[in-house]
Amino acid sequence: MRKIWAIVSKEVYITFTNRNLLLIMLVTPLVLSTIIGLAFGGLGGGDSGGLSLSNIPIVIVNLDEGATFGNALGGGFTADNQTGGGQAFNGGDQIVAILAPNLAEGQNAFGASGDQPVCSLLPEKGADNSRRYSGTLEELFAPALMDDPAAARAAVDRGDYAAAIIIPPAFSQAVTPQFQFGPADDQATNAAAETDVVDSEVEVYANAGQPIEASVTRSVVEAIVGQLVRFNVAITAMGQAIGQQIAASPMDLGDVDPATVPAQGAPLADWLAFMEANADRSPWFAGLAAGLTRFQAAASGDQSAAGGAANNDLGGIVSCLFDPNFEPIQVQQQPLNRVQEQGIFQQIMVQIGAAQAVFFALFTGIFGVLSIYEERKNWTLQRLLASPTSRSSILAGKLGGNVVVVWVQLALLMLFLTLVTSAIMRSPVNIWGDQWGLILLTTVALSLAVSGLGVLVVGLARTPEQVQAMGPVIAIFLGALGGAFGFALPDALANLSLITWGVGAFKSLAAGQGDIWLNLAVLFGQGALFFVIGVWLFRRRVEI
Amino acid sequence: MDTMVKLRDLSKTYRRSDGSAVEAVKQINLEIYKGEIFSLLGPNGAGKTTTISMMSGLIAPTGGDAFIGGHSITKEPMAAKRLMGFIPQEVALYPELSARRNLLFFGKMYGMHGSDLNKRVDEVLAFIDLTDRQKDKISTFSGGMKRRVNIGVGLLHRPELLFMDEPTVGIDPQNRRRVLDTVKQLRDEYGMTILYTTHMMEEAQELSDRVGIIDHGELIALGTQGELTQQVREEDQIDFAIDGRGWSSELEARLLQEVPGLTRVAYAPPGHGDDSAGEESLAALTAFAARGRQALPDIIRILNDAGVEVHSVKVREPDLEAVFLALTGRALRD
Ligand SMILES: Nc1ncnc2c1ncn2[C@@H]1O[C@H](COP(=O)(O)OP(=O)(O)O)[C@@H](O)[C@H]1O
Ligand SMILES: [Mg+2]
Repeated sequence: MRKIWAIVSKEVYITFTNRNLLLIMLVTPLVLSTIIGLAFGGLGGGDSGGLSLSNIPIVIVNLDEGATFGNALGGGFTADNQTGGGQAFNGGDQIVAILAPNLAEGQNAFGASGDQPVCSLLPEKGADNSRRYSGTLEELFAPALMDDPAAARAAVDRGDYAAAIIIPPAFSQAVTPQFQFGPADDQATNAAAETDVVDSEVEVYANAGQPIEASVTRSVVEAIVGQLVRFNVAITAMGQAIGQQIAASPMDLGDVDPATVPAQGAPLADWLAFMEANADRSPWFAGLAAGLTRFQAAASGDQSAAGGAANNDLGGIVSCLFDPNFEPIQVQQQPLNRVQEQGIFQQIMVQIGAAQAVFFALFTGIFGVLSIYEERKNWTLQRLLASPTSRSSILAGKLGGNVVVVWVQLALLMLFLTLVTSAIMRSPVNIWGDQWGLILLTTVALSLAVSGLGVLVVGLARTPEQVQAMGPVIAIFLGALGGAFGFALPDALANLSLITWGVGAFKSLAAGQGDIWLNLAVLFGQGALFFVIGVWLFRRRVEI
Repeated sequence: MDTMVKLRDLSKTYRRSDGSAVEAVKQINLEIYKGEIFSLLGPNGAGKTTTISMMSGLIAPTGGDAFIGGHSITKEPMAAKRLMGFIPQEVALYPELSARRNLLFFGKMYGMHGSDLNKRVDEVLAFIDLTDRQKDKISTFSGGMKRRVNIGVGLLHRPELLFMDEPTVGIDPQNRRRVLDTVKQLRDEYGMTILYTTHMMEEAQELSDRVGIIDHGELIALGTQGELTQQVREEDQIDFAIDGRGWSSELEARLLQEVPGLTRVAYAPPGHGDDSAGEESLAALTAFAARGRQALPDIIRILNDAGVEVHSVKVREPDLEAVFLALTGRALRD
């Protein structure tokens, strides 16, 4: 055993101290994966081949009961406006309108036109911006509507849809801005906002068989909901900021007559008037006043105050939430399409990266085994044979070393792929998921299958020269079947390649699913079979 | 004398892929005694490497067996292998590893480990005089240095028996000297038994206690140097350098008929003899006669009569070269 281990370590040491080999084993697949990943990573439309990132079938179940905007804004707001009673707001309808503009007619959020909402706060560019989104999303999704969450989940399980988006009844309640002036209730407000969001999360129910599609859907929905929540937080923060500014440091107001400062809990209109009156004292006041005026105007239906926007309903305002050009307050905001791209890029890096990693590992597997011939040529094999070490131990050491080398190569590539993805996305991500045990198991299964294939190929070939000629052909063939070059083939063909099974397992793990037992069984089975046949053939040829 | 190695009808027939068979080693029987240097002397392709490969368990004999310290190499290979060190004809090292790592790795293959192994590696590095280069990769070494590491690996586990297959091939005279001295040192100071193969008569002559001469897979002579030269001792060897143009088989017949005491004549056409360096047109004629000095005038007279010009004459005491020539009719280096 000690001798086998010595041979294994020697193999690993020689391989990983060889700079040229490392270039081929690690740098090349890494660079290739990144290039292919970036090439396919954009939402460029339907030409992403086998990834079919367009017309993703999704089903939406909107249970949202809505919320009354006016109530949420607090008594002061409604009391001062003739419209009274507040505006009915339904965030669920808003999501439906964005994801499925063609199906959303009649139930558009604010009961207005039923058209695509246009950001009314960016009058000149608003129409263009909104079209950009709906255009992209229209290509991306093929949506359907359902009423029953259970039926939608069942349809996903059947494979009719890649994902079901289920909007809970309390969704609007949770994402409507909560106004609370004054510093006293800070914590209560924050806590309320957070718990509400958690309790009323939009569920994305995914199909295990389409992890990329499901993941894209999830990231889009998360982005939309995220924008709503962020807006909520932003408005809340704005209210708090005003209250704190005034309550905590009245000095800052300079020579303002304290008597003109509205009382705590005064109507929003009073605050507005106060800020407008003192706008020249602080740019901060001026900005807030302008923002609040527009907001209030839109909410109350005052057309002139809304900057001349044709659209004065809340839909226009809320649609601003999805506009990257509109940032109500400096809260970190990600444009929707970039978030989408990130999700897809990450997924593509899993798929292409894993396939490329295994593809290059195939070379290591085949040529690693071939090194036994080289050792015979260099007489180091004879030297081993002359030592009191059994032939089986020598073979076990060489082949075991090959398995370990392949495993280390896969592990390093996976680590580097995550690092490269993180670097490109400018945030640390672990693209492989966090089911470490299963990830380890998959890499081990792959290493065995890859190395076994190497033994089989070398065993089948009559001469080392035949391996040199055929090895790359076999590797490229399996790589193409397994999607290592960015295009996918029909399942019947793809399933012939161990790369397909390995990549499938990694995709599932990356998507947070653990049901990869079939993949593992296929890989371990192939590995065992290849090893048995390969070693048998090999011993006859090499007399070891 | 204790026997260290015993070969019994050891044979190897290679089967080529085209179906033809090569009888590389034909039923060799010999014994190697403890503490001696035994040389297996023979030209290239004689079967030296094949013999040593079978003795060290690299390839299976197709007939017979080899016993190392009483252990059959075919039936108890591990016990036999533990007794021997093996130094292949090629430099059998990992070029991408340092000298030290090579030694450590092969030491482990002989079951050594830990501080024991480290200490032994230090010793061996000192013995082969490469302590200061131990961290360098083998690929950066000169041919002579590689050879020394190659030998060092074979010494790691302090074997009683050492197989050395042509360890001086392809190295300069200085390093060759060093290797030969090392071999003698190993016998004299460490009491090792050494099987040394070579195609060079001088090496066998300098080193060997006993010599086996192998040709075409057959052991054609076996014994101490004295015993072997004894076979040709009654005859002197006379080397002529002649102008080959007048040579004919009739002339050979006439010589054998007319010169008293002349037993055999060997003729090598121009360019074949190893002593004709620089004189391409000269042929080598070797004559064996009971009383060489008496036969010499007669031979020269007959050659002159036939118009064959004699350029030089040398009367030699018999040596291993002469034995090989006498047994095969060919020079060793042909
Ligand atoms: N693997 C082999 N297959 C076929 N013939 C071989 C093989 N190895 C050696 N031979 C042949 O066996 C004969 C003896 O070779 P070898 O033992 O290497 O001679 P030496 O070491 O004395 O030069 C040669 O004719 C050689 O061509
Ligand atoms: Mg040889």
